[in-house]
Formats: sequence, structure tokens, C-alpha cells
Amino acid sequence: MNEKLLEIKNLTIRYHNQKTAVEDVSFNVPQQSIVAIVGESGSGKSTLIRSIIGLMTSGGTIESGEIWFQEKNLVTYSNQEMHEIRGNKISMIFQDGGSYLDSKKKIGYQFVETIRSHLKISKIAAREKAIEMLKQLCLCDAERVMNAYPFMLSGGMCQRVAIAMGMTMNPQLLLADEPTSALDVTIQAQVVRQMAELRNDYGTTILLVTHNMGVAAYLADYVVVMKAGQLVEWGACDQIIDHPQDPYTRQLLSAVPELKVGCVG
Amino acid sequence: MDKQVKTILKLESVSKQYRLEKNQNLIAVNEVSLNLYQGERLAIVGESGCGKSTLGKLVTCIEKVSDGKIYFKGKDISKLQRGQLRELRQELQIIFQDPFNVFSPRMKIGAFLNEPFINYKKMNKNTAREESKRMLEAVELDQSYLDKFPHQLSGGELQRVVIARAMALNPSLIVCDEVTSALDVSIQKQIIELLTKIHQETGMTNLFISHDLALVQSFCDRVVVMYLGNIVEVMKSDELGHTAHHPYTQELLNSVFSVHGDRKKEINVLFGEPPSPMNRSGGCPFVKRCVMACEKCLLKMPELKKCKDNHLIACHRLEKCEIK
Repeated sequence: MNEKLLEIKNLTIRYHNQKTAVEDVSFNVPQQSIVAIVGESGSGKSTLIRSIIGLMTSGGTIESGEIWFQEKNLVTYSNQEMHEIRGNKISMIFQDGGSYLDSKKKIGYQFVETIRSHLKISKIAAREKAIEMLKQLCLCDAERVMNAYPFMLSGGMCQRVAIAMGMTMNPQLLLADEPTSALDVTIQAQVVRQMAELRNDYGTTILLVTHNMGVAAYLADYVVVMKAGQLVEWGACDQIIDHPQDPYTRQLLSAVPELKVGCVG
Repeated sequence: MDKQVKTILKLESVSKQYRLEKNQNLIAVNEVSLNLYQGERLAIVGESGCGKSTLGKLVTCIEKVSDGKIYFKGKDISKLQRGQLRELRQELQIIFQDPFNVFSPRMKIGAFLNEPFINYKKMNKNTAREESKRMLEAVELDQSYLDKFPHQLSGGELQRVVIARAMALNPSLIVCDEVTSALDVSIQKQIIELLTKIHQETGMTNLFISHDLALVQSFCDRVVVMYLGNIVEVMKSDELGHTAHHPYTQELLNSVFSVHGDRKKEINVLFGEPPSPMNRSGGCPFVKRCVMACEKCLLKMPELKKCKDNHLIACHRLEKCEIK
């Protein structure tokens, strides 16, 4: 087994005055693997992934536990130190690519700004880098995308711009919070393929949160199943999907309608 | 399906256009003709913006058709006025995607369920309450829910209440517009089981709008695939996996990630996005994304033709091919 890139140890997260959102969760993410966290809404999967990068919604605090990334405990990091990690070593994409972008500024402006917050390069160089990134992510008319406002692009395009932005600094770890849930099936297929290519071409490790079991089964090497803040089971994808041990996992899998496909064409 | 079965709903080249500024027209539904038989569960699938929800709204007379006619039980309902519409709505109900938006936050579930009876003056309040209890039982909720407020219920429970109310007046046709897409998979399964049970008990006709092909296959009898306001293929749902021939349907099928499917399979991505419904060219709507497109596809719009029993297809390339 590959080296661990990220290790989560006994993590407990609580929102104030409420019950725990994540309780005593431990698992690890090997280098260059894709790990999917699955579960129903309210199972704490989004809270968990956001806590890694220190972006919990208001009121969430890590009560106990450790998040080890490249042999450093991120829980002990100050805001300043986290700021250096974010975008450089760990980046994140969200469910709705469109709302992640500022609707009043052109894509190009935002992209250049993002790059220049990490690298001390000129605007022109940053713009070139941005176009190069967009082209690599199969947005062939990159120039048009750069000059467009987010509302001029479709949901799938926005999501790919967000992925391009996240990938600019070539992070070791990409956190993806429901990246395909707001998209149509055909666009979902495009984004899923994109993420598979990221891992193959750049060796990026991806931690993915999804409620789509099909996407998790296709993409992931390891699957983590969560329920009501607790880790139900985790392990290699084949094992979890084909031989689930926990009744909850079995229940979750049996709820997914399967497409009966004969010989197509 | 038995040929003798009564047609409950008939759409005759129904179109819906929305007028935008600068004399631009957005064609949401383009000359759709369709028959819906008594007791059938018909699915409409397609990407967002393909006009499937608009079609649902046209059928329930929430939107007025721009062109064409809709016959419900042999009667043209496309030009009805308010009073007649009110009568019609006892027979025709619609359930929407997000149950959270359906409820008034200050209204108790009981009051919500009583409404159809009071509204149509079917009974007084006390008997309506008794009837509401019975309806809640039908959707597997107990009567304590009558005195709860919507915020106390989960999404799945709320959707059950919505289904209960839609069923209250025993409509003959129910339109389900993405009823499960706001819900978790396990809740989705429960709702589909409930709808299946209701269908078995009442034999109600169901127009089921969804984007989930696997779900549609497990629940419905026939599937209509729409693309950019046009019907591109109609077939039986159990044949969806192996007899779907339209290139768009095949792309849709390819895009589905199956849990127990082949994880090594290459994803054949359908490049590009659906074109804008505003500037429509004369040819096949799918031509720009189609791998099989030829010159004819650019020039002429294909008609929906029968290629075998219970299978209609709109594609130039497949017109001549014989499907055995």
C-alpha cells in the first residue's frame, strides 16, 4: 500500500449547542488514490471534508482528534499557516461551481487574482498560465471563457473552471465536496472523467464527498461510509461495494436503482 | 401494452414558446405528440432544459399551450377557462420536486390535508379530518402528524404528505415532476415503493418526469426521451438498456454510473452542452453533439417514426435500419 498522504485520527467536530456532527472518525488517504466519502444528507460528510481545510461553517469546532497531512497536524495550525496550505497543497471544489465564482467579475479577472495570490508573477504571465490550465482541462475556447461572466457559462463549464482554478498550483490533495450533484448526467460524466484524468496525469490525490454511489464506485479506490456523524465502515472500493459488511452499507447500496443494460447497439 | 386500453391523455403537436425581448422566442416544447394510456406509468427523461418540466406544466394546465391540443379523456383541455380548470384539477394533480417549497410554514399538516376537501366542498371539517387520517395511513404516517408543522418533518415525510394530498380527490392522472431528486437514495426508494403501492391499489395513471434513467427503468412502463423540446425516442422501459437506438439515448445510458458496473469502462463523454433553445436551426436538434451526424441531419428535422412495436425514434440515420 502506498504512503499515507492524509490521516484522520479520532476526529470529533461539534457545532455549538448541538449534537456532534462528526464523532470519533478515523481513516486515511493513501498517496495518489481517490477516496470517496458516501452517506446521506446530515451524515457529517461535508463537515468532515471542510474541517480538513479549516473552512467549517460558522460555529463548528474540532473538539478532539488530529488531521495529519504530510506528517504535520493541521489541527494545530494557525490561520496564517493554513492560508499557506490552502490552494498550494490542498485545494477544494464545491458543489455549485457557479456560486463559488463572483458573479460580477469576469472569469479571467478571478482566475488571475487567484493565481497572483499564490505566486508573485505579473498579470500577463498569470493570464497565460490561466489559459494554459483551462486548455488542459478541455475547455478549448479558453479565451472566450476568460472573457465571460459566470452566468454566461453553463453549470458544467463553471465546475470545470473551478477545477482548473483548484488545480493551478498543482496541489497534492484535492478536496471535492459533491462536485457533480448539481449537474446533469452527461455533464456529470464529463466532470467524473476529468477527475479520473487528474489523478492519472498529475498524480493528484482526491478526497471526494458524494451521495451518488455509482460515481463513488466508478471513481474511488477506497470508500468511507458515514452515518449520523459516525464512520460505519471504510475499505477498498471493491470490498465495500461488492462485499459490504455493515447492514447500513448494504441498505444504502440496495436503495440505488440499477440500470439493466443488455448489449447496447 | 394492450391495444384496447383507453387513452387517457392525448397530446397533438403541442408547442410552448416563451417570448423574450428583442423578438426572440424560446421554444421550450416543440410539436410534441404523445398518447398516455389508462393506468400507465410513463416517464419523461432528458437533461435540464429539455422541456420535460414544461410539458408537465402544460398537461396540468399550469401553463397554457402556444400551439396544439391536449385531450384529457377525450376533451380538449388546452383552452379551458378558470371555472372549468378548477373542475379539471380534481382529476389532474401534480407533485413537485422540492417538498420544502410546497408548504406554508404556518399551516399544520392537518389543515394542509383538509384543504382539497374543503376547497371542493366535498365534506365538512370534521369528516375531512377523519379522511385526512385515512390518507396519512395510506402513505404510512400515523395520525400524530396532523398537528405537526412542516418544519418538524423531514423531506421524505413531507413528500409523503404531498403525495397524500395529491391522492385525496382520487385523480385519474398524476404528474410527478422530479419527485425524488431532492431526496436521499434511501428515502427515494421508500417514496418509489409508496408510489408503486398506490399504483397497484388504484391503477392511477402516472406521468413521471425524471432525469434518472435507472430509476425510471425500475418504476415506469414506457419511457419518452426528450432533447431540446423534442421527443427523440419512445420505448418500453424494460427495453431501455438494449434496444435504445437514438444516439442521444445511448449517450444518456453511457453517462449513468452503475454501482456494480464495470469500473474499468471508458467514459465516452458527450462533448459540449445542449445548444440554446432560442436560436434553433432547421435540422435535427441533436446534430451538434451527435457522432453519427450527416448532411441531412443539418438540413432537415427528423420525424418521430415507428421502427417497431412500441418503439418510436426520430433520427435520419436510423430510418432505414431494420431493428429485429
